[in-house]
Amino acid sequence: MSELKTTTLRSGDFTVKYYQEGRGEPLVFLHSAGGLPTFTPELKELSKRFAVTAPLLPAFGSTGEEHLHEDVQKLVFWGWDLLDALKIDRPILVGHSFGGMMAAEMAATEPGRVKKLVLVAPAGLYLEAHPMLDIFACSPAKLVRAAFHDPQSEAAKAFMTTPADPEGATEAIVARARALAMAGRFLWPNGDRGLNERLYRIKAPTMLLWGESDGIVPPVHAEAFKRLMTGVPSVNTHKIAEAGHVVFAEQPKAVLKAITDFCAA
Amino acid sequence: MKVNWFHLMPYRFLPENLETDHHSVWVDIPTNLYDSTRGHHLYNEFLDELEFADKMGFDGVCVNEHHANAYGMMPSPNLMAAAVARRTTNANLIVLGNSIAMYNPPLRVAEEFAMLDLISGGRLVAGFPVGSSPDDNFAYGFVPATLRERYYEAHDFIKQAWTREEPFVFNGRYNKVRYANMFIRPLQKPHPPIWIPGGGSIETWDWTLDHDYVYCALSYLGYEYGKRVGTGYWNRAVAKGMDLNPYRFGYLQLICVSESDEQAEKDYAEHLEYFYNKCVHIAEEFADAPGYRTEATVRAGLRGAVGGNAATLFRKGLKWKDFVDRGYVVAGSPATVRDKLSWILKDLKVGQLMALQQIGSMPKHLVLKNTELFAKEVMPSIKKIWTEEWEDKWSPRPLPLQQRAVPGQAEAR
Repeated sequence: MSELKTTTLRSGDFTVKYYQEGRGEPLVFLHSAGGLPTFTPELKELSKRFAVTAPLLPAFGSTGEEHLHEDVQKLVFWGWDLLDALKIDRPILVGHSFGGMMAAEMAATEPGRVKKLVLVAPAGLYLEAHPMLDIFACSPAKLVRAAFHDPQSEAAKAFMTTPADPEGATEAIVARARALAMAGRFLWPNGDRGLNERLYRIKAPTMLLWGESDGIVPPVHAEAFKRLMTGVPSVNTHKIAEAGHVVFAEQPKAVLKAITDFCAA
Repeated sequence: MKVNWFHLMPYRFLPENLETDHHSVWVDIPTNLYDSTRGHHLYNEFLDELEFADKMGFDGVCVNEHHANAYGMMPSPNLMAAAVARRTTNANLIVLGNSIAMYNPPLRVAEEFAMLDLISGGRLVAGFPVGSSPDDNFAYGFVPATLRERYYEAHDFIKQAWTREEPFVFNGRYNKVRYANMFIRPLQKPHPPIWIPGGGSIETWDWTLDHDYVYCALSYLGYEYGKRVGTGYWNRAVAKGMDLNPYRFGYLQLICVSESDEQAEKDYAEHLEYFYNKCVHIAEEFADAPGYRTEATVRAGLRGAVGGNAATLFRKGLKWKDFVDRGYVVAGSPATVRDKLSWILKDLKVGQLMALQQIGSMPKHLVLKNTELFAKEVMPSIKKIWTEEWEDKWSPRPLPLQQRAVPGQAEAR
């Protein structure tokens, strides 16, 4: 079991919990609006080749989200301040969904400080013909249908399960509301906070990784990201079969292979 | 007791299949269900009804703000209050309220409320709701997690605009104005009374008490919900060592009066069912956006007047007897309504009653009947409650009648 470590940023406004494990090139993983309940087997696997740092974002185990208001720049500074505090230089930056949007924003702000960029089904663009699902007005059942390639799978069922004891159930409701509230600071109401006008600044070699059955951020968003990332000579797009938005959970091997191949290239 | 007459302005012609074939009455209701010619007549009908309430001697008439909502067709309650202001003399204009978090700059609200106060001769109550999730987050696109801090900032800005004597710089997080300057001043000094319509957030109770405002519990669930919110609110007042003056507390109640209990059912059952089956057919996903309620409120298990359990309850296809037995509506003969209502108002320590007497599809002749019977047979005894023991410090202080402009003959000197 990996232990959570703690640091603070900006004179204590933010307390950050993070996992850190493995040796090798630094790789930073930014999780989705689903959070990061544990150091997952996939991160464990990555930590065999990389020095993996996986922070819990504010409201997902770390605190201080109220200081971010709804300001993307503050979120980006939170990310870079953390990497400064942990003395991580030129990492491979991997972000999933909301974390993918954040990784793209960080790379656009400090283009020279990212060695490689892996965006896994990133949020952050609004396409009129293919909008991101309104995850804030979704029943759990609808969310599962959209997030999973196979909504009947064990992983999907686990996603739907809430604690049986009332106290645990209340805490689960509070935690879910808090996490979605945080995501809403930057994704409300349609996911567009101007990233489309900043993507051109990214310089790092980039891979876009998408589950073919993603019902939350439609895979066609990959084309838009690629088109807008004019500063990257070649954007590598990798679509994964039989995977929805939760690609790590549904096709962990394919995802890990794609990431390690891309980083080795 | 102050007795005020509340209008929601619902669309009276929703289709039979609204609750079965349409997702929600609010936020994503199809616009092709709306007929503009009917809309023209409806607004004028509703304004007639508000004016009638003034003639019947109600202390105030209440209007409120909703967006993309077929049961509340007042995107701008200020327009309605302005229309009513010129054709009424006595009733206070209780605008409950403007969603101040959404207006940039909120100075616009300060100005419009000042205009209403001036036009009406000082009859305005300024209502400042935090805002609802369907309106503010879904229909108007505001981020749920920051709505409350926008609200507090807007409130501070408006208060300053009303009270500061010189032009000033307002440097908020969400509003920045180099020359904030309200040349027109509200008639009431230092400003019109402020009432806070709330949905049961713990923080709002404290905040309202700390500012010495009136808190208004607005729901369609009657006594049961009023008791939950009222108990929470008064407990906070006790904890703060404040007086328990009932005029600090407003409460909305659906009321149906007829000649007898049986006749009340005949007159109003259909319209109550329309209200609870169609008007409150609110999709649960829109009731409570993540981040809208504070963590403390979520933890306390408090849901909004339109949220969660409330929405589910409404959908059970309840009938007249259920509405009456559960206390959603106080209905029956004048004697029945008098007894039940005075018990509720005393039990909840309500000083500002908002009577909802146009309900759902209720046509005008029934609205007038309901209102007139209430005004003549029920209101006189209700108005006596609290007058001996408590002073209402939160109602408008208009100009004396003889000093006021008369519409049609106005001339400034």
